[in-house]
Amino acid sequence: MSGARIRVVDPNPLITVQDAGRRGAMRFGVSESGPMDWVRYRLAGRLVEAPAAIEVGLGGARIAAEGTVRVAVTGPGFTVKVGETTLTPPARLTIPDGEVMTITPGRTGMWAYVTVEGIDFGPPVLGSYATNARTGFGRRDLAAGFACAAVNATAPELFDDPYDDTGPVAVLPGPQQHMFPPAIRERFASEPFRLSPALDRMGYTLEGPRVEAISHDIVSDGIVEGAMQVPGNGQPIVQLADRAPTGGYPKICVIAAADRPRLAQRRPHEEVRFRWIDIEEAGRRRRALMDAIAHPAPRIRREFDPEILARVNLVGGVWGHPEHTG
Amino acid sequence: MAWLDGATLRPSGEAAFVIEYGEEIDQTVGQRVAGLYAAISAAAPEGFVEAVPTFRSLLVLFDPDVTSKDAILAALPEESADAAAATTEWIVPACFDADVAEDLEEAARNLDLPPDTVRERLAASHYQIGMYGFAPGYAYMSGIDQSLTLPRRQKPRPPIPAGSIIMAAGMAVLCSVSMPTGWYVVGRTALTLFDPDRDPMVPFAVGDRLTFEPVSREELERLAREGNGLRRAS
Repeated sequence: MSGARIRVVDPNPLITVQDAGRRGAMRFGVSESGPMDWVRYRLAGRLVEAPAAIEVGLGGARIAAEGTVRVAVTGPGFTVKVGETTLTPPARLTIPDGEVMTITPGRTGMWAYVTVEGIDFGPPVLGSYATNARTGFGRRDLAAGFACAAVNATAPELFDDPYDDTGPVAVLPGPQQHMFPPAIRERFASEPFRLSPALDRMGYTLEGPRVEAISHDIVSDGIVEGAMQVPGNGQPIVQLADRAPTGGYPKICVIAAADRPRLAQRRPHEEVRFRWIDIEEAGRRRRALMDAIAHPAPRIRREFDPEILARVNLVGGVWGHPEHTG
Repeated sequence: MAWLDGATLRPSGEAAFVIEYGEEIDQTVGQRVAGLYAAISAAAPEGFVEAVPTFRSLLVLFDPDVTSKDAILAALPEESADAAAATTEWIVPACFDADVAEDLEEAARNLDLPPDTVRERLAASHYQIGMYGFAPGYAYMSGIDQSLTLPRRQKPRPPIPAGSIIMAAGMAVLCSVSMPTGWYVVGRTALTLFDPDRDPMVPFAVGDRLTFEPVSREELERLAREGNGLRRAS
């Protein structure tokens, strides 16, 4: 068989195709889109190279293979099941012909990524495969599926996740930082916020201390990913992948690129704290991550595995095999 | 004159910055932003990603592992006197009849003006594309006669067709997508504002100016079938 096919069984709205993002037409109102977690997106692409990934949200996903296919799955807290095998990502594995891979969210984490060897998503739209969930721009028929490469079945390989999702989220000054008095900026970085249930690929809303600006109404200007807008109610909205390119609330800060997944992978009602950093620290953190992604480390088991233990002959292990005992 | 004269540089994280010419809507500023957009896009070093012009500022995005704010600014040429020539002036046929300008009469009542006066002022205004946002090709315009300023309507209306003209808090908007709106629908054009397969994908650049030429409902329908009737002002 020269080709194979994968398709998403019963796709839900949180499953989309994403590449690094759609650039070059933001000035015409075209949203950038792209992955919510660029680190896990890039890691999936490093484990199995593909022009774009399938992003999976809290609804999980079932992906069926016709022909054996090679995939990489990344995403914190998620589990991957194929047949009787259950794995925790990051993992590289094959889905045997006719089988279904199930991706299920765990108790933490919001977004998982699947890359498929040799996958053909069809023509890009304005140079990108990214889907804008808000407008449907670039959307593809996931249920109809995509052609991809047929491979030979191999044992799964597990890798270290190079990212720590816990801890405060580092921020840099935003274009309207001057509209927030110093005491407000300090308080913003010393008190906890909670993620409100009002969140999607466009943005995450925060609940917490009121972040007050001199004015909450500005003549709109451009918005980058991670920019934090503060409307009149003082409850910030972090603008994420599917954001509109322009907006009219003052922006106190921009989440450092290296810390964006930390926010994006947090769930509604979870706590989040912010801390100010400078451009140099942001650069160091970003480059360290890119290095870690470029050299994915095979996972070394640190925990006790009762299943393996049950299979080994403890006596033989201690005394050695007869042929070695002379 | 240098592009940065009178400008304020604002930070926007590690991969972007903003060149701001003012805090209010001003068509002279809009013109200068359009010129700056053209200059920075033409001269920018490798690592420049794109720039987003708005009513009063330019957001510049770059790859911080390839270039820097300083390198992009250093590559800017002097500001030339004919920077404004980078923009185009357009005439756009538009129908202001009641059946396609569904909220015009309600707007006129709320403004305490005869509906025909509202139509005349819509047609006499000199608009400028201030920015795109909300959706692809969704164009915010300055220059609407300020006597036509109204707050949002009490209730949003069901989706309006793409090509509609709406009045929004001292601005006018050309709608590229069918959508519900809480603002006043005061006219319709035969324009397809966004088409990813067309070059350019939108007919107007930020900074371009336009006026509406009133046409009948029949003429609007003919234009919708046979082309949008858009033309450059001589």
